[in-house]
Amino acid sequence: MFFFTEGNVLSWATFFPLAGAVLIVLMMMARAFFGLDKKLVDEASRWTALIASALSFLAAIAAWRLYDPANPGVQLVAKQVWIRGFNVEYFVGADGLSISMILLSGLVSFIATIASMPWWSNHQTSHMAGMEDDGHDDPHHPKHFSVRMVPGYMAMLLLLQTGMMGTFAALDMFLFYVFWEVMLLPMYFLIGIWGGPRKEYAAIKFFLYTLAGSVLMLLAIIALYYTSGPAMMADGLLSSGHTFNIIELARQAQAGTFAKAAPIMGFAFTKIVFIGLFVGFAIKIPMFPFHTWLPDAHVEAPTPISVILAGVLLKMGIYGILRFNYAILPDATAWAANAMAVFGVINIVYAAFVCLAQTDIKKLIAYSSVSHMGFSLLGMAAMTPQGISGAVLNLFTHGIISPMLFLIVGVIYDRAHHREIAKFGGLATVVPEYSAVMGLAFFASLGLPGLAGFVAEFMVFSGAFPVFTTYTIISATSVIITAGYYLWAIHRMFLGKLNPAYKGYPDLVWRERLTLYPLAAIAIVLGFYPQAILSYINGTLHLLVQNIRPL
Amino acid sequence: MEHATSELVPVVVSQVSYLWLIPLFPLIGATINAVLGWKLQGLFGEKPGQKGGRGKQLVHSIAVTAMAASFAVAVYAFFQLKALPSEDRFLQQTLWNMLTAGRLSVDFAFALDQLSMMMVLIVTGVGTLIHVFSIGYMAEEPAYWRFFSYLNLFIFAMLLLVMGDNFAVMFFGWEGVGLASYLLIAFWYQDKEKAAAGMKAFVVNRFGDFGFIVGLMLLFWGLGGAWQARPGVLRNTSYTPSAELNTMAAATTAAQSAALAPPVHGVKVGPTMNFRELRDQVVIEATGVKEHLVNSTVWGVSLLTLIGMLLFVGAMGKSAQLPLYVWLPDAMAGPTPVSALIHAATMVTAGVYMVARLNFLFVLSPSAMGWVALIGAVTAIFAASIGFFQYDIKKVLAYSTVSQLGFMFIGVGTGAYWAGVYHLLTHAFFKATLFLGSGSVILGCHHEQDMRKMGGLQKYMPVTRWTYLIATVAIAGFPVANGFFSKDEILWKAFTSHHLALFGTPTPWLGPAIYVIGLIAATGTSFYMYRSYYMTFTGEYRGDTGHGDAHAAVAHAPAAAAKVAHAPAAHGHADAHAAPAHGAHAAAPHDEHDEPDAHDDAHGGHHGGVPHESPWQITVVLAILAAGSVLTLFLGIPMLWSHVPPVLEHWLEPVLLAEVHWPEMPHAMEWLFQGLGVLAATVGFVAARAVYKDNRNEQALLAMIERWKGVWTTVFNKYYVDELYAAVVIAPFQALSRGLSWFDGRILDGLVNLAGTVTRFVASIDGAIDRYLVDGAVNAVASITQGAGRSLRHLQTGRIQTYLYGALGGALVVVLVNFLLP
Repeated sequence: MFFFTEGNVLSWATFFPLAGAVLIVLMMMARAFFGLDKKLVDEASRWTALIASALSFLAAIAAWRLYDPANPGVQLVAKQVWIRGFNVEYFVGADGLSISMILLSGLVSFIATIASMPWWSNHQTSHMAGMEDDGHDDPHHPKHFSVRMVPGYMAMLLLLQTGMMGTFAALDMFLFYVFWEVMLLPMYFLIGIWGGPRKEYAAIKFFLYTLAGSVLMLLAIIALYYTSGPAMMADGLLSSGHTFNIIELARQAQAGTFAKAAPIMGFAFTKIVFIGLFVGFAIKIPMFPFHTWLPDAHVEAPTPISVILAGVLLKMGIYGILRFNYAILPDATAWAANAMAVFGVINIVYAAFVCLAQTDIKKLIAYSSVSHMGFSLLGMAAMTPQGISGAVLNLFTHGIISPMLFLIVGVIYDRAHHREIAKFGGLATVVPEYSAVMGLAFFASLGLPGLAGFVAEFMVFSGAFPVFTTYTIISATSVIITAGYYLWAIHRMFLGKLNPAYKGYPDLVWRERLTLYPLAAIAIVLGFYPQAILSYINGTLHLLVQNIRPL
Repeated sequence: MEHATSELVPVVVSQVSYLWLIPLFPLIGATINAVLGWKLQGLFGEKPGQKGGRGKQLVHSIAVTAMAASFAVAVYAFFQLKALPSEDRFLQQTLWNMLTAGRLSVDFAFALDQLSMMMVLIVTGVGTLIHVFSIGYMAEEPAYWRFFSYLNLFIFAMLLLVMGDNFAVMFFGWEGVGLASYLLIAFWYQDKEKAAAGMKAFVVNRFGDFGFIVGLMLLFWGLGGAWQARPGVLRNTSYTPSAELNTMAAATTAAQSAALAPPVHGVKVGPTMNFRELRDQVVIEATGVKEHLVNSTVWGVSLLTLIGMLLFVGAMGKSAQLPLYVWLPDAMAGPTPVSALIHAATMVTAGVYMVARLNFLFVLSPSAMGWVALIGAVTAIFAASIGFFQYDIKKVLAYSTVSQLGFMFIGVGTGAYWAGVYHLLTHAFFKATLFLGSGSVILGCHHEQDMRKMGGLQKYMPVTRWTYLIATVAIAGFPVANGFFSKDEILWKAFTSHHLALFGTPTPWLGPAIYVIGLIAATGTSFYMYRSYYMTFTGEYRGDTGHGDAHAAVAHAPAAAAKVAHAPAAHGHADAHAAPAHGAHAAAPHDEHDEPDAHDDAHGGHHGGVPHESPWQITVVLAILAAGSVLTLFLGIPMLWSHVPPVLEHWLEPVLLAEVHWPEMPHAMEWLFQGLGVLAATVGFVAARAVYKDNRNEQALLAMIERWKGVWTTVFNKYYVDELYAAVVIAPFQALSRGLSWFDGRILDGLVNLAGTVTRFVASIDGAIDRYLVDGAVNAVASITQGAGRSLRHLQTGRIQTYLYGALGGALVVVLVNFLLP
């Protein structure tokens, strides 16, 4: 497929954005040295970002097409020795779990890049959003993020994309951790520089919170490393004592290496390591009670960053748990399953109730993400084929729907510069097309059959029911609460008499359509044909749970 | 309904390739009108205020053509079905495998058997008529395209519901009709109350869906025996359920999934979402599934009872049974054709359809049957009593619908499945006629819905009047139209059923008790329907024909209740004015009325003009439906009369194969009960005629209401159920959500911020220590050294004598030390 081969496709997907970022940095230096025109550099960096991101997405699609769903093992492998002394390899590859996430990551990144452009909008909307770049940056009338310090923004965005893609593709713990941390920094700056009024607070909170998780994760990774045995490396030589290779670690786990390891402070080794990894990932999910960074980060982040945050970053928590905890620590996973289910139920119901009380539409949607991530926790804790497939499908469908929701919030924020639900009213009269897309996204998110969100929910329920009957019944009440908070929000914002303040507001422009319609189309197609994703993920996931609870 | 049970065999399936066309046409219609409709309307011209216009013609042509095409395919399917032998009437089409994970494998597939065929014909047939009706009724609507798009969308979803081959596709339709209903109730969304009614409908239905989903999961896993494997208990060994069977069986594709369940006696056993597979394994006793299900218990309750009850909770929501009926009366906020199509003829019967479809399951649990029938009966009488005193003509019909749905549930609950389904069919005709008739009246009276301001319409609207009367005769239960035959069959079966149970033990008195409740409700039905007929069509026209005396003409609201009484009326006639809602595209600011905002002053007298008969699209549809209300009686001529089973019962027999044993009763008794049914109708009719005909007993009525004001006010206010819900459900939900939100923002996030603050505090102490203690020590060393250096500098004088003194002193010290130390 084009010039992509099974060996290089994942590397291309990962490093196209990085190449773009480097190019942009070169342009910034060129501007400093040769005094190039600011507008020229801005435009050039936008194009670079768009093209780099598109190429990365293309590579992700190619990876998806090259992947053979009938084989549940790791495919599309690229493997090189990176640091011989520490047994670190550059090892990327994809199995059913990661291929869906790679595709999602490529798609959402590309959509977010489009949403970062000030292009394809008419004069009125650009004016309302403050997208007109007159070269001045008045602190009292802050410009739209899309025209502030453009090359820096674009470089950060691309770096973030590399981090995400790499995290999903990496099969070496060290490499994984590097990519994981690579994501943090650009995210910090993207929120902290291009964000809303309380951006510094939100950015620092996000950074420190996630870093705290990363530290636990790092300790767990080191513990795993020093407990592991040697493994064959890419150059055909045995590693010196230990290995970072995740696949090899999982194999050693099956052989009982970690179950037999010496206890730490009197507690079983696997349990301690499990908790370390789990807390690190749980912060990212985010799981109750570690979720409070999310609403703040979302509220302050610019729209495309919210899109990436909800669409991709949240998925990494669940992904990491499946990749590390489930694969490497099966015994401890079985031990912790019940607790995971309980936290899942709390996430689902608690966050749904919190949504009901929100007055800021973006915060409402942020909490709804917390609620929806709970489904994944519940489904994967059940460890049934339906549950685990539903959990990962939920990652994908939520990755389609929640970007739509945040884009929708962005549209109205660009026009009205506030997000108070109570201050709107009757918007359907003035922006019908926008209202229709909003309706689709809200209904998709509340789990209307025929749209993507439902199938995942349904599978999680059917998978969790025989294992956690009571929990499942409690979490099924969320179908009521979810409908309640979404419809109530629609009611207050879009229906009723038009608030005269919003008279003459422009409807969607092409930039917004370009971002919203593809996602809407995917949400509908997946609603009727979820097997498109399921056929890729089923095999790997079913093997994964069978390792934990054998047939 | 005696069947030779031992000979039941798996359903023979005829694969066909055109079923998908039936729902496809409405979907195409909906899509075209949704995407292009407003452009069509704009392009092909429509000057403000002008009725019709070519754009609108195009819009409704698309919608009606889609419906007609769908109906045509349905008729074709009917003939193909009919040509097959009675037992093998099952058309099926699988489009694609929707999802597979382990034992859960769901196809996007359609099926037509006798029951769903009947439903499809009703949905597409009555649906087409109502589309035609809407052409006349909605002619002045600016957002015409949106209306027809939603209407087609509804039909699409409804067809998924009835044609679905499995629970999942059915649930797609189940929720899809909910969505369409939400959109159509809130069609005039600029009116917050109407929008709220839509929201209420959806959210209340979600309560039902919660039960439905849980019931479904229970069934799915109950089939697999995830609950308990009972080796040795089952006599039949061909089906040995075990927990592992379902939880861990991995399958990625549909084929793998199918391979997990090797057939037992030619039938796939185990968990399934497919109706046919479910039916086969349950009814063919050799598989042992039935035995397993009947003997299973969950939490000390019979598994099947729990499944039945939970599925019925879903039906309660969709089919507006107690206590989830509250959304239906509010749903009258939608345009009248919507009320006729969705909230009378089709969607609200989904629950009845579902119970009938699963008759082979419900029949295995007498308790579930008992509860279904009992709730149906209580709903029937409860809603009828509210219907007595409503003044809004649509509200009367809404409560009547709730009540009639109750009758249907008596039917399917007692096991008289065909009778319940037959009532569904007859109700579709007469209630559609009544609703559309009321629509015609509302149009004729210039968007007035309050019956107190109608009256005497028989001379202005003859067609509407006669069709309304025919439908009233039908619903009241006189044996000249269809309603009698279905209702009588239901009540008779209720009386003779001794197999119902409530708490696991047989309660033979339940059947007769339900009969009595039903009979009273039937009397009530006759009363409120004739009341609405007489108030609307006889006497003098009380509406405003120019002399603006509306308030004085308020027929019989006592002063105390007058304020409340106005509310629904004001609400009602806002219809016309909220219409410009979608002006954004259609650019037709509706200038039919002079003061578009005047509806705020509830009874403003600006609705001038004499009532008029409606356009032909409306009257023709009314006539066809009224004819249907009479003609469909031939589908249900009782065996008592003709000595052959009723046509419909015979048609449905292979689907409704539940075994219910009805005791043999003497024919005389059946005649007697038919007589009682007619008597009930007559009593209601006579009472309504005495009170309401020509509005002649107004004073007596007012006095009576004054006498029983407490009761009257309670009933008039619908027993304050809405207020009860607000206090018991909504308020606690909101309080909890506010509480949790506070907890989240203040406590949880507070802890996070506290951690930050504490860290900063520790850091500042740390900083202080660093600065004053550690750094202080370092600095102290430095400054001491410096000071020492500074004072010692004075020694460096540069004079040789001073240094010699120093050297001498030093030598002296060395000598002294040497001496003194031992």
